[in-house]
Amino acid sequence: MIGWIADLAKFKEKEIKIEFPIKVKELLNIKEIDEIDEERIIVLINGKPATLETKVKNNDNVVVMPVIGGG
Amino acid sequence: MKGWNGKILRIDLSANKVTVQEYDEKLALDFIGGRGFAIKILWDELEPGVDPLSPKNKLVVAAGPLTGLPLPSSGKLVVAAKSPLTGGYGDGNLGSMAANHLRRAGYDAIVIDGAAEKPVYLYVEDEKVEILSAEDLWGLGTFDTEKKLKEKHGKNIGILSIGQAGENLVRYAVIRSQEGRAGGRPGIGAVMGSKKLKAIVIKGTKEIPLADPEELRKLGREAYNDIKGRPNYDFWIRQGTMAVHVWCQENSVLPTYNFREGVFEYADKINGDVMEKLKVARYGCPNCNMQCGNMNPDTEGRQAEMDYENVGLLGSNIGLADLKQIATLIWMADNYGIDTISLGSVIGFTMEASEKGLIDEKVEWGDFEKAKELVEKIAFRKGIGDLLAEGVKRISEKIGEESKDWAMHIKGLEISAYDCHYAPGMALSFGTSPIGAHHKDAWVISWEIKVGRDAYTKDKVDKVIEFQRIRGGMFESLVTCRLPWIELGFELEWYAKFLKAATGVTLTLNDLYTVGDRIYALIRAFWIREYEGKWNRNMDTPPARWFKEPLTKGPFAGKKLDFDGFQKLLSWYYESRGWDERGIPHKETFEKLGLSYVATELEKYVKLS
Repeated sequence: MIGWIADLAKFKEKEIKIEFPIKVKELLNIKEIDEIDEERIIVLINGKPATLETKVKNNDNVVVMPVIGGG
Repeated sequence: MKGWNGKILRIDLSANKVTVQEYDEKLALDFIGGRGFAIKILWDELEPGVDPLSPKNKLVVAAGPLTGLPLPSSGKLVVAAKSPLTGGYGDGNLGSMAANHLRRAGYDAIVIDGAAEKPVYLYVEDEKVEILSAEDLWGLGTFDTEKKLKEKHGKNIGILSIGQAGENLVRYAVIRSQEGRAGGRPGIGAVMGSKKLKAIVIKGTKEIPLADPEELRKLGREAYNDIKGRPNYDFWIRQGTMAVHVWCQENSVLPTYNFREGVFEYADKINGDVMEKLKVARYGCPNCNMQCGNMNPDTEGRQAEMDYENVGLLGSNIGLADLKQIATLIWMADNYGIDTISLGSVIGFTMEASEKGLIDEKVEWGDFEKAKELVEKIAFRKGIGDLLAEGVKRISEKIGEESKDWAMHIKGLEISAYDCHYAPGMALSFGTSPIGAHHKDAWVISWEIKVGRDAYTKDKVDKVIEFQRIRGGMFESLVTCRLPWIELGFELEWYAKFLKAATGVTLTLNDLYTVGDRIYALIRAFWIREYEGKWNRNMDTPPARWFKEPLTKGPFAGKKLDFDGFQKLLSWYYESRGWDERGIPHKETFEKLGLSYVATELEKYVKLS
């Protein structure tokens, strides 16, 4: 997790073992997640663009970061 | 007219003359304000080919119809002139109490012509306008200049000033305000210095005429609350733009060793988390409830403002891995009034030139003491500083052809803090930015990473243009800050409502984007009139390093830009804008935008298609 996403999710990095594929959204555990326009969030799974709805399997590398403005 | 004051203050420093120009509604509706007013004035009034550092150049300070109103982040103005760095149109925006006071003094812009014989500053208090001696201020840094002016005129004023760099005509000197704000990267501070104008002091005491003051205040209150309630507000307040540092490192776009790499081995020593721990205060622009000026102590115990761009260029780009040392370089640059982005690029370029034996001076990567020495030499144009004060394009031309590939500029303006080896859309954004390689107009990189970095597709071009319309067109002419929108997700629809309440005029976002296109076409015309036959599409193409030398570190080692792919994006960009293969607007495009008079004038210089 990067930037304010990490701040809201309250973690930067962790390894999670999952029983069956779950959505990225469920990994995050951010209570405000539905207030945030998905256009403002970048999801990469194994380096490839994905969404909060994409399902994650074991051994996937998931990066979630904000769309930012860059000053 | 409501919302607009309808008046431009005109100062001729050569003749010591002050006049007030009343302008008509057409200017307001066609160009809105800020950047729009600046380019219209410079196009209409500047003699083509004029030396930017001669009295014939004009300095424009322009606000817009939302500037200074009780609306989020509206305390901003635009400073513009023909750029001594690029030879084209140059501008920048900065937050300043001068923006609010300018509007409350009854003006929307100030245009300064000519040059004084001895140092002066301008004092404006409503109708009272004086050109006063600045002999006791000349030679001072920007912090002391502000302090002295406040001692003299009281605290309730707005100040724009230059430091020693502007006085000494450093080609990337900026204008400063509020002990922390800077604007005018393409040497607008040097233009001010060439006019022997040390500062502009404004005190305005009037009400800005509004179409519906009650509605405006109501919208303002709602908007401030909306911004404060955004989920990432708290994090923004803590880290501001410095949050971008981790993001850039993670995505391999952090400028490192003069843009050779996109990752820095010591990035975690100088990122937003470290800044947050060292933070001692927060400053910002007027009317803003998300102030981004985070202050860290430097090596001397002074407070320096830590923004991402500053730290990107004066940190990893010169191999420096200590945040306090970076803070010292920032403090010095701010005090002298030097643009930190161009400065970091110049120092990085000098380090590489030294490594390759192209200059006699020995300057190693990450050498803090040497970097400090260079900053001072640049500000005073001492020794090698006289050459370095010219910017990377000119330094490269002087030290030899082989350095051209890694002179990291576009159109003469040093590239801001995003490496584009693996970001073709962002490379296009830098390439087509109307002042040279600056991030302000279309920061597309975030969106690009979201949708896929490998593609050279038309949707990237469309996104660059969309951002340019919003950021470079709308925000730069309204003039308010873009950060509530882009950083916190504050919706654009608010701005059409603000404008309606302020002016009574109904303009949709699409209408505002058309104004943006008009501004872009006119800025382009300005460049082409200056460059005439020398204008070609290479002017919009990034330096060869990104095409020829792949990244060697990080997860994206081996990646580089594809030259043909970039040219394809550029051609699509021209086509979408109604410009020809040289990047020159078609006659028809000018006509559609109500700029037939521009086409007629431009045909004296180039053949239009």
